[in-house]
Amino acid sequence: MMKWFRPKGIVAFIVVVALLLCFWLVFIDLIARSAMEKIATSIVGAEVNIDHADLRISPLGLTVHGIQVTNPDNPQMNALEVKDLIFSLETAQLFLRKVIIDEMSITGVAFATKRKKPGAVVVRQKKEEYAPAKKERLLPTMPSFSPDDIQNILEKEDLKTLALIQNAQQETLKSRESWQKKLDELPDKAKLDKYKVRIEELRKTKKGDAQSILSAGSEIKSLQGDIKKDMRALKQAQDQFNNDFATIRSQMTQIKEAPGEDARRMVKKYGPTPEGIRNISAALFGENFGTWVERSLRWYKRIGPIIQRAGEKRKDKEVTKPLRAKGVDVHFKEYTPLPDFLIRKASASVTLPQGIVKGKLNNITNQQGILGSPLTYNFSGDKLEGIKSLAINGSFNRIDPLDAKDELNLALKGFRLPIVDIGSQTLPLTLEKGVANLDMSAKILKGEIEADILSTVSSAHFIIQDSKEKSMAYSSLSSAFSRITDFSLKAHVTGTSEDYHVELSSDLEKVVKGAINNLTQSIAKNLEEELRKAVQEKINSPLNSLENDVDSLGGVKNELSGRIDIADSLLQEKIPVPTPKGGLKLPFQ
Amino acid sequence: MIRFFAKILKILNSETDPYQISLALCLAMIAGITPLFSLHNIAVLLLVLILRVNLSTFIVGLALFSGIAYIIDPLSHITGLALLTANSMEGLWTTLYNIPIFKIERFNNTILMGSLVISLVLFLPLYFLTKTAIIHYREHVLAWVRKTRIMQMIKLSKFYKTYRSLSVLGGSS
Repeated sequence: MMKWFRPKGIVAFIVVVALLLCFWLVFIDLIARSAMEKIATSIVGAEVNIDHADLRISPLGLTVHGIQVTNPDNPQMNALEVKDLIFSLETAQLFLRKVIIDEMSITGVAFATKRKKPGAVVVRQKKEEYAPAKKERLLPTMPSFSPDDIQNILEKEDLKTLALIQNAQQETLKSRESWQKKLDELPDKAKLDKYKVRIEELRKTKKGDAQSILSAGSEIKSLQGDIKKDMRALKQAQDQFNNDFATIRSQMTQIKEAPGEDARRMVKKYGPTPEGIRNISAALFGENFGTWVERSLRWYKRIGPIIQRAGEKRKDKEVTKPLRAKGVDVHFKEYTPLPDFLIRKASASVTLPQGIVKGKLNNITNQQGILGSPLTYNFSGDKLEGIKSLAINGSFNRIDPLDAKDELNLALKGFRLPIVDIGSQTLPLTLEKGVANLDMSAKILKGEIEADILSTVSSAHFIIQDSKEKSMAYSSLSSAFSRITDFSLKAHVTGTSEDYHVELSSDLEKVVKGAINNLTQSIAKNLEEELRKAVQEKINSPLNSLENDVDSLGGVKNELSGRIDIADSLLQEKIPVPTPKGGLKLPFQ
Repeated sequence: MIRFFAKILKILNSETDPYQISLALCLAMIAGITPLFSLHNIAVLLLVLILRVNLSTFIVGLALFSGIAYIIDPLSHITGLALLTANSMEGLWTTLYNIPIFKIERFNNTILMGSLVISLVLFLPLYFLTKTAIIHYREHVLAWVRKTRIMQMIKLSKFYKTYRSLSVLGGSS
């Protein structure tokens, strides 16, 4: 039997194991630090550095000092820096390969700190540029019109005024021709003169016999009947003429108003419009806001694997890819289920440039389904420099990964705004100061974002620096912005983290739109006046010709009036009726 | 590489018992093709030290099988996944999953399970095969090889000098 065994081997084994244990004890801090750096780097995608890590054996715990997480988008900066991270581990659970931390203390958390040397970026994220509304649109180009421009416009356009003049001229000529014919058909002066002759003849008949008296009476009656008939014809013609003339006059009135209408139509077509300032809020705040949303969502996506274990089902069993190891881990039902990694409570103090914000996080795990509770967080800070109060709370609910519900509520009061450049090249606008109150409520349900942000800014002061190209809009907006002291900004974010839509609105829009509207109205008014004058000039000659034609129609009127006057005077004539020699009175006398 | 083959030849041509070489090679196979830092490899180390196995063979075998492990990892993964997801074995795996020592062993990893099962299945066949091969080699091939002209030429070569230097320096385990 001893042929197979080597008793000294047990001693060798003990020595080897003891050496391994010594090695572990001596180098475990370094090994732990290196392992943590590697794991964290692979999660973040950028270099993570740890100053040093101290492992305690009893009670089992770890203290990590000086954690620096490189910002993958800017390797010169840290996205996050943690001064100290202290926690104790449940030893019994560690033998079950579970990291259960009852309480963790995170102190000295700071964001966006400068690194001594740039951190290596493992996986460079494709930088998705946010495309805000083009700032150039903030100031619409206000057109100016030279006399040549006015002439060009007139040449291009078919003037309604000219068409009306031509139409009226044709109708006037037609009417004149028609009335010339009618005048020829109507009783003229010669005919009326004949009645006069007949009257004179009747007057000559003074006394006579009964036969001649009766004949004269009949003649008078017939004469009067003829004159009245002609009078009726003339009056009817006069009425008809008056109607025709009134129609022409009405056309003349239309023609006189037409240059104004033409000018207005052309202003509408060629004049300035406030179209270029459709989305002021996006132009002013879109870039800053878009960058902020983009950055937040990028970090939200990075947090994903920490709060939700990426697993899949194979033959009804959950399998997961172990971190930095080969194969996959198949998971089975546990008699006392606990997540593989859990921090029950963590208290953190975050150092912001404005002061310290303290908060608590509960149930940090990537297996909320096993724990049955969501990750919740609550941060608050007061007595901060430049901020009256700050409160952040929310949750990451991944109990059912298919029904993920994440929430974030933020209330920021009395935040003294730093200098924010919101202008463009054509309008170098800077929000120099202001006090903001901000309320944000964001939810991500099954990947769908629904966020509302309301910010009210008071005591605002805008500065508009001198611009090289001082357009008309520049001076108009400068004056409008200099009067603004309060404004609000609303944002509504919808969509998914990959494809989201930000809708921004602000009451600044009213102010800016008002200024631009006033300006465009003023330019349009000037343009309208110029165009009206130009149209007037262009129609002067045809209009004069038309007026002459219309005036010539006046001759018809006069002619008709003259004939009517003659007929009327004829009717007024007193024809002495012949008396019988005996002095008999006749019935029509 | 010359040194590596010289070492193998030296072991084969030594007076070491064939079972010591075979057993060392089989244990090296377990440690080599399964993930090195696994709990069961402490047991393998214990066996290597307390059993009279050829340590040189174990070390050479460990290097050899660690290389082979990369090639058979996909096979290990498929085997492990098939075993771990087999419905008939679910009860056994669930029981083991709730025992701390098996959790530390990480038996639920497909590569570990697959490579461990493959190495255990091949353990006895490899043992008997190598043992028989060594005996056969020593009885028939070694004497014949020594007489061949090629061997005479090799004896004059750098390879032989290396082999000799190992024979002078080293001793058997």
